[in-house]
Amino acid sequence: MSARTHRRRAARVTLVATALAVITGLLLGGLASARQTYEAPLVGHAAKRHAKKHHPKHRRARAAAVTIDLCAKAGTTTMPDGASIPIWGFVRKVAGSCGPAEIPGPALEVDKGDPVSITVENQLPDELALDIPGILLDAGPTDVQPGGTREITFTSNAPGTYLYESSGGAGRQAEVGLAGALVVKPLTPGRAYDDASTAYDKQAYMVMSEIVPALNAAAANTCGTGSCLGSFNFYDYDSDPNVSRFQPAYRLFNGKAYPQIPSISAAPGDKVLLRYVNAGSEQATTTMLGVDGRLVGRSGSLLSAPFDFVAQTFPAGSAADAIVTVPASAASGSRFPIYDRHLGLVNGSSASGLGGQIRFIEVP
Amino acid sequence: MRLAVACLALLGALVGVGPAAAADPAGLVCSDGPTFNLTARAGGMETPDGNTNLMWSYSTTAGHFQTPGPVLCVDAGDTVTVHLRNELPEATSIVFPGQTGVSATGGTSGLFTKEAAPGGDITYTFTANTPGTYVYESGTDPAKQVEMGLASALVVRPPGHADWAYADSSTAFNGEFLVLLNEIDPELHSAVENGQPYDISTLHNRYYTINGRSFPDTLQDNGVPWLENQPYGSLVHIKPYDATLNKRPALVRVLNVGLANHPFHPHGESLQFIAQDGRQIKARTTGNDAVTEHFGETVPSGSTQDFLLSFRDQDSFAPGNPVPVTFPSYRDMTFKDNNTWYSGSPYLGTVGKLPSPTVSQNVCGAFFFPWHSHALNEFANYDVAFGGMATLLRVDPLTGCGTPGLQTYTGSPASVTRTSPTPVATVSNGQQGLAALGGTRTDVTSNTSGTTRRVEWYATFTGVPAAGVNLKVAYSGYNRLTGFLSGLPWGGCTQTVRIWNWTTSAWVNLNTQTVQRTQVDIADLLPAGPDTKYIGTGGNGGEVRVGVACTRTFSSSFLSATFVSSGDLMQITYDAP
Repeated sequence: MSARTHRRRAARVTLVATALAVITGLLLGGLASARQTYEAPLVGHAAKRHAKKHHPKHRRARAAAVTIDLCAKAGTTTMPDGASIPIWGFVRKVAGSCGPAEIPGPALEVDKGDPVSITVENQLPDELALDIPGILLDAGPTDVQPGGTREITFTSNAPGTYLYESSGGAGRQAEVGLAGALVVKPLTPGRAYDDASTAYDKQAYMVMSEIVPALNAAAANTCGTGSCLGSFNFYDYDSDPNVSRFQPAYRLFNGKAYPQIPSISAAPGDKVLLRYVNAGSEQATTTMLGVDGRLVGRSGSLLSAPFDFVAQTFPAGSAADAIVTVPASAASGSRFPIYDRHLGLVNGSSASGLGGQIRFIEVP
Repeated sequence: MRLAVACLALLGALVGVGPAAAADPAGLVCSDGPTFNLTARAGGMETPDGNTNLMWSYSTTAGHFQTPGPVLCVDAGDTVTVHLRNELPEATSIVFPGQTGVSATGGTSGLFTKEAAPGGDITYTFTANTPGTYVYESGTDPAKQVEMGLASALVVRPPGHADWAYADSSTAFNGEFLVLLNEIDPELHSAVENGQPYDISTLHNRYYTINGRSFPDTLQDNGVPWLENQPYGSLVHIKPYDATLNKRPALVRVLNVGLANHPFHPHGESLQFIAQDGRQIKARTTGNDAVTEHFGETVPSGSTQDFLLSFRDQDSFAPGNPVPVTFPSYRDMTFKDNNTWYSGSPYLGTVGKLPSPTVSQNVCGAFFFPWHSHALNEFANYDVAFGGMATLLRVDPLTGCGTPGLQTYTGSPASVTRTSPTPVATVSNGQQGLAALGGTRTDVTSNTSGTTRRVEWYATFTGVPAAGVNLKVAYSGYNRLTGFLSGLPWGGCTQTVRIWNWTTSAWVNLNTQTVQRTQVDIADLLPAGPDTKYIGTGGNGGEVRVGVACTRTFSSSFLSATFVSSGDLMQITYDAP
């Protein structure tokens, strides 16, 4: 009841805000320059939230400009079996500096209608190119030279879950970690899309990827002026050309392998939105126990015929939105596994015991 | 063997949980619940290439080892109880993807569910909720145990409607079929058999199965005694749609319990995709069916898909509605290994002629279509095609598989074989060389002087219809020296079998080879078409002339000899209009 009242009030205020915006725009010589004044103090996502806090009801009238600063840099990650794997990853620039590289890159969340600016500083030895399949980027070159910085801009029109990645190195840069999830939220909070059927209580990212150690090693090695990634051959023609060197040793949810993957905490009856992003190079298929999912959207597009599933394939490079409802009768401590049904459930080899993509929805 | 099976069946009947009783030869075989006594144990599965792989599987506790495990059939709302006894060397369990509220009693806690220790027991209980097709499989070290075979199907039926797939009359079916996909890496199974380390990261599949068998074993009936551990066939055996006699579609329950996705490709008729993982497919706004037609569909690992199948023969090809292309003559067809499921006729319920010695497996003019994985490496047994993940759709005539009508059809009529021409000896090199005509053998003598000796003769078939087609010639004969020399090897002469072209008034050579004293049978000589130029007109109307010529040039007059061309058989075959 109170929520509905709130929405009505928001709509009224929105109308007033629209009028104000038009007047302000006329006074300042155009809407673009009006936006510019809001954009100036924004630095990244946290600043945007801050801006929203001051104008919580103006979103429909004046989408807040979002500025995201990222670095692309080399780093390492440690697998559960102790293996240290060189990676390339995106990391958010905070107060002018970037921390260690992350896989996947930070989850970027923007609102429908936001003018978005993403600036990437390339600290890697190779040229990279930022790409967001399904999002129309403003025209202009996207290549970022080593040591260089480039800004790309777009307006986020279509709610949904997306993959952002570097398309550099013939896709190999994404495979060694330069990829992450980008979410465009609809106007109504708590929904995957504008449609009411996509309402959720909790959301969780399910960014899937794999690690091919030979490829990551190539990224860490120097060939000429750059890395050895671009010249990596998936077949070794000097030794055995019949055996692919694309041999994933680790399969990850959100950059981590079981048992290092944190559970998703959800209460009985909760609708959990799983934002599946396959940032890897293999098709990924997950199954689940004790619950099932409803696939409501794919590739930033609401399905007209959503369907329920237990096991589902997510093609490499794809994104999908699924809602899992925790049974209302679930007791405290209940766990609902979601795991790789291709059963690559090891870290490195079977000698390590269970590993790979196993994650639980857990009732606290 | 048969006796042993009978005894087992009897034992099963006594304890009430036996293996599927004597079932239909084709179609899904249920083990009826809602209480099941299963044992996880090891056994062998055979592949068509003669290999045997160790499998781990669920079997009914009182029954024989089987792979895949028994198909558990229950009604929605049933309280399902599954007692599992573990006869494997390591802890094991069962999980039921798609079911909610599964509780386990006994055993010890595992990652996904409670587990039974080796030699131990555990009981799972749940209320079957939504009708549909589900997987049940091991929840313990699944990368090993599921790959080893611990997986099968759970069927939940709408109460009161055993012949509906869902609680929805639009899913009523006539005939129910299981297509359970899996694959096997024999090296990993061998490692388990021999106590070697098992490493899923070395997985390399070699065998691909439907219902636990590889093609062509998939076509064998359910429960054949020579596949005692693999009781489930996967022939999809139906009749065509008919508004009164066969209104309902068949239901095809497809499951993938393997580790890889499989692109399943049904020929013959598209399948109507009605549900995934036991959940009907509905449109969001209207709630109406959002079913789609499929002739190729990825079946994700661990998923199930339900399809309805009506064979509608939309083109209605029948003798009165012939195939709208020129149908190749049966004699222009070849069949791999001289073996086929083709009836010789494109019309359902009829058979036609096939070239000798081709054998047809088609007894009543049924239609056969392959259903297979379109990943062609999976359409093989250890890389040898055609095998693996494949079965057949068999469509019988609506009236059943009775005595078929023999149907000959335009383009492949009954052929006429003629073996009694009228021989006419001719003269070569201006020399007289006539010999006896007629009889059982035609002997024509060559000219008798010079170093080059030659014989030419022909025979005439009369009464060949002007529109006869697919003319084919055969000739059997030999060439010997004359007189007391006739038994000696002599190197023979260069023999040409030929046919007279009435349009150009010239011989057309069909076959040339050296033939001496041993008879050579030359068959299936096909003159270049059109055949009308070999069939005489006017005063020679209906005449076909087949000739034989043979020439030998000797090295000197002294060594030259006269010879005889002896024809034992001259034959033409043609298709009458």
